Amino acid sequence: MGYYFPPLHYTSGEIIIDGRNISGMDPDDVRKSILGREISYIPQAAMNALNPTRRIIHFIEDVMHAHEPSMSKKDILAMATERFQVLGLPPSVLQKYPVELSGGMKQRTVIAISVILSPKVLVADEPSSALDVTSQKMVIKMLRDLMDKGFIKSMIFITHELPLLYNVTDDIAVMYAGQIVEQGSAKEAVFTPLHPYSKGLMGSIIVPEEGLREAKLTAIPGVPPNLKKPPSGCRFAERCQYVTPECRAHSIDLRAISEGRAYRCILSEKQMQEAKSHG
Amino acid sequence: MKGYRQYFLKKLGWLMVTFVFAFMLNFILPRLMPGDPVAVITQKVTQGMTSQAGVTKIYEEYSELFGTKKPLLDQFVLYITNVAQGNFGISFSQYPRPVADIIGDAIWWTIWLQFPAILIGWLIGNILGALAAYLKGGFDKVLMPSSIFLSNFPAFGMAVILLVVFGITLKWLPLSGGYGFDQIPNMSWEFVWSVFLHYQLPFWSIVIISIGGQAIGMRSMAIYELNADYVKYSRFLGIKDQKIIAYVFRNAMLPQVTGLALSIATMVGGALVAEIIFSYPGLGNTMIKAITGQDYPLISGVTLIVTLMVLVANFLIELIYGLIDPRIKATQAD
Amino acid sequence: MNNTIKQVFRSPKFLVGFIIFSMILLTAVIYPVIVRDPPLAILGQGTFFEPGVYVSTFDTFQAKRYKLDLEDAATKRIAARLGPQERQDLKAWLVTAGVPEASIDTSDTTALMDLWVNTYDPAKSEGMTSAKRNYYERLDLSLKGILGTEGVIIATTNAETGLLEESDSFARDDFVNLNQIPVVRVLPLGTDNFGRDMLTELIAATRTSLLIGFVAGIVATSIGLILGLMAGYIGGIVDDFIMFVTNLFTVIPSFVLLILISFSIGQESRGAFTIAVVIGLTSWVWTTRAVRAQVFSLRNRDHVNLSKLSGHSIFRIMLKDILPYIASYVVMALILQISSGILAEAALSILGLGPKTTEVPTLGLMMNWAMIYSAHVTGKWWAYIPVLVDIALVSFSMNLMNTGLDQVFNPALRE
Repeated sequence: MGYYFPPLHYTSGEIIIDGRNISGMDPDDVRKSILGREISYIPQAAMNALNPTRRIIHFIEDVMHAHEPSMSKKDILAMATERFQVLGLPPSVLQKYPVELSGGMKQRTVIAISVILSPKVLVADEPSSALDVTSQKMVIKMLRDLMDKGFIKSMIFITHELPLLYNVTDDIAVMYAGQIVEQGSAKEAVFTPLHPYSKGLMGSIIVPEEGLREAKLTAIPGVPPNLKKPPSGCRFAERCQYVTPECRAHSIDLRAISEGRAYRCILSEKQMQEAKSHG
Repeated sequence: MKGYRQYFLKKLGWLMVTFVFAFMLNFILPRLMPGDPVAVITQKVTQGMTSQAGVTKIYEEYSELFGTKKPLLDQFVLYITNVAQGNFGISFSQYPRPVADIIGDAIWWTIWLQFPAILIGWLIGNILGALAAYLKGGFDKVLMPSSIFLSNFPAFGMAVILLVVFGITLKWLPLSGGYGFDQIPNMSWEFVWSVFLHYQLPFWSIVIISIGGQAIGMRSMAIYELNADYVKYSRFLGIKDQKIIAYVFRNAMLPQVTGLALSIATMVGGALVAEIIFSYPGLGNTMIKAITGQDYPLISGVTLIVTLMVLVANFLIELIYGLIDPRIKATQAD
Repeated sequence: MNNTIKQVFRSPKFLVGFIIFSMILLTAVIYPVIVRDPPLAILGQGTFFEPGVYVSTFDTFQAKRYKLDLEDAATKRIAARLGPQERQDLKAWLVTAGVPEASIDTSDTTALMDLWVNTYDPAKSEGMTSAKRNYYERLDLSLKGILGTEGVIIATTNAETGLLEESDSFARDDFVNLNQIPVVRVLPLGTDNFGRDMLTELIAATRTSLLIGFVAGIVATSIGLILGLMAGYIGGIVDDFIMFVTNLFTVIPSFVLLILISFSIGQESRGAFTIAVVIGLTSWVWTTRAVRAQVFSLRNRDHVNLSKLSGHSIFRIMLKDILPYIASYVVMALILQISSGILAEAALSILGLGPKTTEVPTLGLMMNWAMIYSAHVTGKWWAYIPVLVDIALVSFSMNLMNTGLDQVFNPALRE
């Protein structure tokens, strides 16, 4: 998809949705049949995600016409009104300009527009990060609603907030410096992390429990590498407490250990679990 | 429509306030200066006059006319009453023509020259700026430095260059005036053609000068909008590029309209000086005649009229902005 | 800080602007040290002498003579004698005399001259008016004179007899060495309408105009900075009031104020400095707006709040916690103000409201004189083109620097 969003560009890999490989498809086909319809997206900053000089309904019309040119405005209005009602948004929002909506309302409107074509996959990029806690809760509730009501089939939820993630998702993939370093079910990834980075990440969560006052948060030393010139070996090597000379020698592959469970480290699963006690 | 009415009334109120201040400045500034303006005027008028009694009499007359012996507030009321009746006094340098009469002759030349020229320059500049932001590369690399150059080139300089190139060297167009020396204003084709030919050089020198600044402004606005989140989001939802470009340019255009309202004052200033180079029979030329003739009432009249012209133009642009920016109507209603 | 400066100088736009501007500035500073002529001294007894090297005729007569045998001397003399108008006249005569128009090339002096000498015969001018006939005869005579070999005789009046006596003579192949002529004056840009050396005057004018721009810029930027800081940081009623005044002066054309004030001051008390201050006083609005907007976005930053909680005075907070963050904007605003101040002076001078003309030249005044004496209509390009180029280069270079800075500090514009 990189070719569709400069300055991103394609280097390797494939994108397969529902068994269909979309990498290498004609850009206009991608636009028409994939974007919004197969994959949709909730941007991080909903504040500026909507064209400020277009009423919500007119923007929805633009989205619909990009995919279904024959649909009439009346039908679009009826469809949008119904969809907004189902998702608990007042239909009056449709006639407003983005500047007339509050932050939380804007974010929920953006979500509603993103799923207007009932996409198979929804990519949510920190959808709740700029919101206050009440709005956050409403947004999360709405996202779960979408799944429950079948408007979307699956969702990729990108966030720094692990507890939130744990509550929303089935599987978690941990990324470091542009690579997946660990993959597994939500439970596995949170409670038995394998990769040193994931361990550090999980270790940085405050759990309200006894002895919290004395507990110290463990931080990972150092800073992430410069991604313009990524290191040739393991990208985490510089900050890893288990680092060996071999780590720096060559790049490390993602290693599958069971169905849906994988990690990117030369240490064995057993070594990792033993190391846990130190972590 | 309720929102727009509110917006309109707000802008109208602002117009009134600025009107009052323009009057006050025009009235107060010359009076703040040291010295007795009436004495200076009398001295100019009576140059070469030997009779002391005559000089005193003229001094008395002017003191009466300007009311300089009355308290400042009374003077201001007198000034406002006179101006409201269209009475700007009698010109010194073109005695006994009333100032209102001289300005009345000149103002239409200026309005018909400057506002179309500024608008066309604004339009061309915006199109070029938008293209530079969209096409980037070579087009942008050529347009940007030339726009910076043009926007900082003085209007009178452009006027001189056009005059020398097209008027003197190539002899394509007449050098000066609003119409041929051999013409008497009438409605014949010959006269209209002559006016049209004389219109070209002043018109284009103002247009060319206005292009640069607008192109730079539009380019920055368009680049800013092209990088806006809504552009990425719209693309992600599969909206066609043409549609997104239309969003971007509409949104980039709006601040440019406000920009025009804010900069029209400066632009009119430059254009007035350009008029002078071509001896165009507008307000610029009237102004320089008034200055060389030390014609105080005429200067005061011209500056006031120019200010009012700019204020009204500014007001009209704001009204148009209210119509084309949908947010105005929506948000004013709350 | 060092890093920022490095980054600024890596911007090609800034660099080009900086180089042009430094060269202008250096010339304006160094030239007067080397050439100590007063810029307003009147040299030429007449208006608009062309650019060139002026050699004293008297000295040429006195100087040692050399004989040089140059073959093309006559051709060069003829070429100089024949201006574009004369060439057209020769062609017109030749065409009426039956020479095919296509065979006449007015740009080839030798061929034209050959054709003329071979064809011309006063008898063939019959169809013309007598004035025309006489004109051609005179032209022919003078051309033949140049082709001849006689020298020139210098005669002086004998004080006793009152008769002319030959005192000296020149042959056509007499030459003098320019290095042996004591009085030579180079006027690279000729003279202006008053007979003043254009180059010296132009450089002095550039200096004054830069100073005017600088003073105007400092005045405008200081006012704008102070008002902007107050409006943006204190906010509330202070902000409302300052913005009201600022909006007012945004729509009321500043050049109208400039004209009114300059006119009211009167010709006698209008010095360059006064004009500069007046320009500064009428052009602070944009800086005020820009500074206020910047301060507005800064005033709730953590470090400012921390400073406030620590009980620092408003003055200290503005100076230490806000000013460093807006410094780049202020510098950019100052550059723009300087350049627009120079243009404002030029426009004022063209209106006849510039500084008093007897003290110093400014770029605007030079332009004004050239226009008043119709240099542009009569083709005296050296009287206004250098001035225009100078104004354009100064303001172009400053704005280029400004754009370069803008791109360094606003990365979004970089593409």
